[in-house]
Amino acid sequence: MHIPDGFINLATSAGAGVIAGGGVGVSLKRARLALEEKTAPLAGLVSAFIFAAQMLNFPVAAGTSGHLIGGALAAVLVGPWVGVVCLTVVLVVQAFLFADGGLTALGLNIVNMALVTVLVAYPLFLVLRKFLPASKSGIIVASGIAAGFSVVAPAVAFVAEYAIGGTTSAPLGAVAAAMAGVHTLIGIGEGVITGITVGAVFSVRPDLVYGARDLLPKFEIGVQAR
Amino acid sequence: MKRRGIGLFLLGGLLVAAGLVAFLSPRARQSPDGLQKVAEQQGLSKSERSNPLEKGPLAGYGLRGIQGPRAATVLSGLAGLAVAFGFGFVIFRLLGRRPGAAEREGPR
Repeated sequence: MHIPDGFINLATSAGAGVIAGGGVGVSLKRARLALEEKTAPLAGLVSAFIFAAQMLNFPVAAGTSGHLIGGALAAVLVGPWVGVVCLTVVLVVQAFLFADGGLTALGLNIVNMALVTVLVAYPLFLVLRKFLPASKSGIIVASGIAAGFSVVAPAVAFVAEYAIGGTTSAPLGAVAAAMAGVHTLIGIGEGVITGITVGAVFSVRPDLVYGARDLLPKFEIGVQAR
Repeated sequence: MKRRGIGLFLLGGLLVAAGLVAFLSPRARQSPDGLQKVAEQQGLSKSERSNPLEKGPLAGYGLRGIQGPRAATVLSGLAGLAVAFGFGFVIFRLLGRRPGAAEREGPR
């Protein structure tokens, strides 16, 4: 899902860079309002874990692989605002140190994989939770489904960016169909990995799952506030 | 069971992440990912330009000067993991130290 340099023209890439900067700026502001002592270490851990998980390409179809993006995972574990920043950290490290994803395309990649994934995943997670039991399994299922859709959404965003500023003349319909198809498959993998990971964290430390804070007994919240 | 710190959780989480890099990353599929595959099939790849930093020491999840792709992948992955942790951590520590409270205390 990392866009290399050259696919999308510079004007569109620059526009995405502005949107990315604005989105990350807003996320930092919002994250700061709810900053806790544990925010920094948890953000570091989520960034590191997502970086590691993104190295693990799994097979999805003949000759094609996919890997976790982690937008839904980050949003559920540390909240959407901190989550956007964690994904951005991963993308910046990948682009600058690992030459994974282009430099001029960094804004596009931040828009798609940090902003779009989280903006789709977290609201969807909250809606799904209303229809699911307020339990560990409810959290896992809601995370997994939200994660699946959060992979298709940036694929659609890429098609939109290609429609606006693509530097080649591939038929848009074919690109859209291919992107949606393969990322639906990758989305299943994303959903499974996200569900397992959220479930594991919830089992060990339910208090560290941002999206499940409402499940904590009230007295625990009172104790934590001190 | 509450009032636990997060030190142990942090350590465990980082060990799991490092374990994923050490044991699974050498086995990860090398085949192109979804976007790369579509780009190849639809002809987008012909406009691809390489990242100007592709000669960097960790570029392509390798390690310059280390023989053996497995060791190189693992070591560069562990380096990336450490950098990602540090970067994420420092951003939020700095965010917490910015004079947010001071702004409210008085004009400057």
